[in-house]
Amino acid sequence: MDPIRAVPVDLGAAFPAAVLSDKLLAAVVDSCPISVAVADPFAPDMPLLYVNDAFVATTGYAREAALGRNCRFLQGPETDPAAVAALRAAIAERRPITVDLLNYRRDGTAFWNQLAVAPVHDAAGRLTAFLALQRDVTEDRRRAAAAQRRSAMEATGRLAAGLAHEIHNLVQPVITLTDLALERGDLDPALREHLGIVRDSGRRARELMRDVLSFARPEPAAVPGAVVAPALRRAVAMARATLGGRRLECDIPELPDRIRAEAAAIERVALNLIGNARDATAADGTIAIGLQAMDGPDGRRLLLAVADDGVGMDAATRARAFEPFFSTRLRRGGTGLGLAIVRELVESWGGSIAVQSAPGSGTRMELSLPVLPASKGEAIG
Amino acid sequence: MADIVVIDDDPGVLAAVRAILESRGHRVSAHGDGSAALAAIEGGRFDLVVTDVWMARPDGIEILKRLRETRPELPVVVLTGGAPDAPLAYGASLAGAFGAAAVIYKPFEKEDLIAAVEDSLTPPNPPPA
Repeated sequence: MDPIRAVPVDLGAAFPAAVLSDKLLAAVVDSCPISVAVADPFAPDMPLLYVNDAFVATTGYAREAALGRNCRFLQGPETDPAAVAALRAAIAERRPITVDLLNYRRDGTAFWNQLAVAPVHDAAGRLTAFLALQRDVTEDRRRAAAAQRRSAMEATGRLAAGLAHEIHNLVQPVITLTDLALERGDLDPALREHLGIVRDSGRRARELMRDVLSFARPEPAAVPGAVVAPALRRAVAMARATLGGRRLECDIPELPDRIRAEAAAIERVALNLIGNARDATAADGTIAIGLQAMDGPDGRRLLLAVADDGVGMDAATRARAFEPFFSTRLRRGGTGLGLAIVRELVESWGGSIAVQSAPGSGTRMELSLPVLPASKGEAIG
Repeated sequence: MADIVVIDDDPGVLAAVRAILESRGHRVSAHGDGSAALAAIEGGRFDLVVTDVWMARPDGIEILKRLRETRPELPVVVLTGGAPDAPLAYGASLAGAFGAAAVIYKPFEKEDLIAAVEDSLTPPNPPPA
């Protein structure tokens, strides 16, 4: 949909009055599916004089709660002050403006509000009111951000595929010729140790390329879907050996629900989250893995949570946790791609991932995955 | 012990594959160029071919297709490392479709190559049907 455009409104124009009665015009504006608000520029603090039904529906504020107040009551903690300042400046200069503002409904939920504000003039050219049209563009912005990320990932993928061919060739002799040399019985111990380091470095380069290449590999168009519970159990079984003395609490009921993913990809995501939890916890820490099904307004979803009682993340780390090549463990074997890949996979399944974490209070990663409709005669496995 | 032709335009990979196979007692005829390798194969007696996929022409797939016509009994093990315009799986599925005995991804461990080659060699001299 096109953005709402702010245009100056001239009530002196002949046609509305000529074609529509005031009563009809008022009814049209009342039931217009775009949220409409009118503010009084002469009263102190520019209170709202009028809001239509769509305004009430979008914001959750009843007419009587909205009228008489400046519309900044829709703003909240995360509203961008720069966007608000731009809006104020335009109003002060009596010129039209369109801005996207993060606003808050009456119930506290945030939404992106595309706000178009225009001065309204009478026949003599005098300012009489400010008109504000509003549209909830939250979903548009989410789609645009996802498309932008996808295209960045595709570019990364093409670069990675090109690099992979060259790097694989370079790494091949590093791994195998050192491996052959290490089979010799007459090696000086220092030389043996050095060759071992060279070989392991080659192997790490290979792992890095594999991670990078998973961006290049598109999900197959038609995935039949896989049952989550057994794939999750397999991942837990594989991960268990790597956890040392950490305690693992598993709550994975035998749910039959399938999601639009390949089983190997589900295992990969689970292994990655468990691996992160392991690296964040002390040697005697605890990692908890849970799976449950929830029936909600958007249909049935699986909630997969991996929680740990480890070091946790501060706000800055949390904000960048899903960014490719961001890692707090680059010097200790991390590639910085794990969570970026996890998010790509989860979103390609139509799901979402949320993180709760604070320094010293551990981390909880929660995946919300839409379930595929059940098909007949399907075995769990 | 077998007589094996190895084709890869990367000298490092060629050296590594040769060294691994020689460590197992095989005799290796190594080539950095597909045309020379095909001429050698057609003029000699070999038990197996190991070839890279993405090379200047003829590439590994062309070599594979040609050998399936001229030497259908000769097993071909394909090495693939991805390509600028194709995901890894592309080379593998092509190689599978054109009758490769095995496909392995670079960079592989020497055990991967040894297993692929030696599994493809048995029986070493298939009796005529």
